[in-house]
Amino acid sequence: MGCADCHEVHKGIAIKGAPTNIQQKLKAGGLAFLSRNETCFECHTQQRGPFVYEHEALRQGCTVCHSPHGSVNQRLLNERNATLCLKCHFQEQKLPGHIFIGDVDHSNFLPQGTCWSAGCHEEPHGSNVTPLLRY
Amino acid sequence: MKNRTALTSPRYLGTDVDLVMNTPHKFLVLVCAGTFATAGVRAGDTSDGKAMTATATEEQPEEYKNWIELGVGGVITSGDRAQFEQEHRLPGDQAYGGIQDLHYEQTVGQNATLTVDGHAIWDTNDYDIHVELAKPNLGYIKAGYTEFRSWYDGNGGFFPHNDVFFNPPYPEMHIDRGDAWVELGLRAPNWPEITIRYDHEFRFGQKDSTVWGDTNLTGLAVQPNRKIVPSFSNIDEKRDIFSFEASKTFGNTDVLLGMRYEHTEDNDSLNMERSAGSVGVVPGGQRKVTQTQNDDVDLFSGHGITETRITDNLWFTAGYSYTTLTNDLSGTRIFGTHWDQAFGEPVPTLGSRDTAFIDLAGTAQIKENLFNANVFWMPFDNLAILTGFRYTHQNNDSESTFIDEEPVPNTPPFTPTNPQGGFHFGPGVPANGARNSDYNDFAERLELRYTGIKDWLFYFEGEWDEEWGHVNEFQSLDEPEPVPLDKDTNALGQKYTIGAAWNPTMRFSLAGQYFHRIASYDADLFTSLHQRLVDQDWNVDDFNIRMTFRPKLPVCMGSLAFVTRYDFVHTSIDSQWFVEGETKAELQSGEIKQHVISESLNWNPLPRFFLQANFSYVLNQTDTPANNISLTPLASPTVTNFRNDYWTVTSGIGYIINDKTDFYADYYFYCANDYFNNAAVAVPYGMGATEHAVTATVTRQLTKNMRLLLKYGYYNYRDETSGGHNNYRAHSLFSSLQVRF
Repeated sequence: MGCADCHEVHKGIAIKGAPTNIQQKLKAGGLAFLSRNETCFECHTQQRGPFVYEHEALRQGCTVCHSPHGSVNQRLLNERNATLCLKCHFQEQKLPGHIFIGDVDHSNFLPQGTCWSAGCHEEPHGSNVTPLLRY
Repeated sequence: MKNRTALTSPRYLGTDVDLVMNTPHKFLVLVCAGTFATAGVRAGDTSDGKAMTATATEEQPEEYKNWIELGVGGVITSGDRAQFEQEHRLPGDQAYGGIQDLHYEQTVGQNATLTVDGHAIWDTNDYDIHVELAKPNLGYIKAGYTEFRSWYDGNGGFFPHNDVFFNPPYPEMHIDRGDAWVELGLRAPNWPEITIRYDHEFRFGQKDSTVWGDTNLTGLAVQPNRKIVPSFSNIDEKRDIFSFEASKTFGNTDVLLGMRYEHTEDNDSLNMERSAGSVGVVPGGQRKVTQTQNDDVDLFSGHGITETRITDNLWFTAGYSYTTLTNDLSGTRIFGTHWDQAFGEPVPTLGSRDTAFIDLAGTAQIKENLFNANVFWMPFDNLAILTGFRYTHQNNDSESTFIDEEPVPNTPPFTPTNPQGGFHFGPGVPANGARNSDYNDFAERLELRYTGIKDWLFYFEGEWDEEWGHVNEFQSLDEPEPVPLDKDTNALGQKYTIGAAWNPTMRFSLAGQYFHRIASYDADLFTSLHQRLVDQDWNVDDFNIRMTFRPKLPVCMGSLAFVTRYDFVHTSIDSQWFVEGETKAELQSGEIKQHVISESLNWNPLPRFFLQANFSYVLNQTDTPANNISLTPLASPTVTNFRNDYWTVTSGIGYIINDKTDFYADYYFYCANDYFNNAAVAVPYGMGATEHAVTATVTRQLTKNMRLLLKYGYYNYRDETSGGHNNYRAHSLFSSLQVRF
């Protein structure tokens, strides 16, 4: 895989999925929807879905969570711990010494590992079963 | 460390610059690539920048059009072989070899040309063949097959409190990806240009997953459960793509019509283990979980594009496309004593959160209409204006049904298959859900470029993207009772970029760019059950500056070039949530700061000798308010701010020993020091790792048409995060012989 798989080096708009360039979109496979992600979905079809329940963060682009040019973390993740999720999902807390996400106290879950660990929210890209993206 | 992307596959082993790019970070690869391109310093360059042709490899007589290069090599590893394979894309402890590179061309008939290019490396599953028959003023037919392998290390987590590590079920895994294709092109005068192409792509194998399972075998007295048990995915994906395009020029207007049809079948599974090795669980408490995801996806896209050159300085482009994407989905989630167990087979016991499902069936569909228009205008020679507009309407419609299987506590009489404290599945509950959404998106772009001042380039880019949406969502299992989600959404993206480049002399250039990006999301909730994001703002400030300097040196010192670059990115994320009927206060939920400093040096002291060196230092931290919370009854914060700091050094030297022999060597160093042992309150994820890699290559022109290459490499990797389980040492040897004919 090389730079040209994702970038149009001789175009003014460097990224194939640039929002107003239909020609470059079509070169990327005719997938104009979810425009920020189509460069990634060209290869990652499983993450494309479509799913019954989408993670709306995907509408803002894969780079919200992944670094396509490289990362020290597995799966090119921007952050390897729960910070990856909490940077968006952290909320005003109602009790000291606890972290509530929604109306669920996650204080016993977070020490066990990341939010997407087994038995928790295993399907961060989207789920066909549960809106909470549990599996 | 799992995703370092080194370019040391066999096909790259014969090249020189690529060896320098043994970096773990593609970001650095791009920086380095730009550096090399800018500096243009290679063996044979002279101080005045004129390229010499003294290298042995460049003395090939031009009459040889064809060549074949045969190669053979092998690797000896100690330690975690899979980690070496994953990073360097070479099989450990075995030989590999084959056709490294092949090019053959021949005239067929009067003026047609047959071309064959490719390579085939056995035991790395690296194959590529490309055959093309082309005839001027008629067209071409070409076909090919490509396959390559990616390796994965099956290791999961390591818990340093008591040095717990679970051996993975498959220590070494790999995925083979491939594409078989054929393309026909009509290029006859006065006829439309027609291109028809078919691809069959596949992706097959196993890879590790970060969805780790749990154990309480951690030696902790308080909250002993940690999720460090390795998981893996089985991948079996196929995609068939048929595309057609026709284009023709009418006067000053180009017209293109096309369509694309795709059929994708993904049959994947995620395989996990729960309560592995745990103490205190009921007999048989260890469970294997298999979740299958089966997607049967059809995509159709039709499009038309026109491009009109109204004048030489004024172009207009417009396009329309219609796309449908339909996924007929199915799947299961089953607990058992082994993976891929059928539902209903005996399971000694379950855990309280072992929710399963069977008989999943449903459809998810996207329909999209897109219209696009661009105007390119150069009112003056020194000013270019590009404007773009896009309207997108997207409708998503999805639904699924399945049988929900919830665990219920065992009841007396207790037996080995019905232990006290265990769980079993209750009666299955039919469940269903649906989601419908509709979005209208308007995007605009304005780009200005001005070159009216000598040696200067100025540019401005503005991007605006606003999306209005409506979402309905429903799940019959929602508790305490199903409440549909009904909301309006609005997402506004803005990005403003300014930049300038100054090139006063060939020896010095300076460029800088700044952009500010705003991404705002708002939702109006009508009905809702779960937590909902009602307001979020991302504010991103990105600044970079790049300087290229080629000082004038005495002739005896050759040529020298420096490229210095600094990048700074700051992101703040402000969020507001609606929870339990209450709109929470808006707060800064995240802040990201990144500094990247890189320096590149290229020195040619002699026509026969060159030196390249690159240094990069990255500081990256993501902060959240969770860093300030010690969870009761723990003594320190669990979700600490996450750091991604690392530095790398790549360097290489090349020396032309004589007119037949070249020598090249490089050294690569990588270090991340972000490991923070907070095992008492969390799973330590921070990366602490060091790697050294050294390679040396000799090429010898044996005869006019034969070249021999010999390469040796040494690799040493140490990883604190995995407790040393990912460490390895490796020696590689590779040789190739190129024959031109």
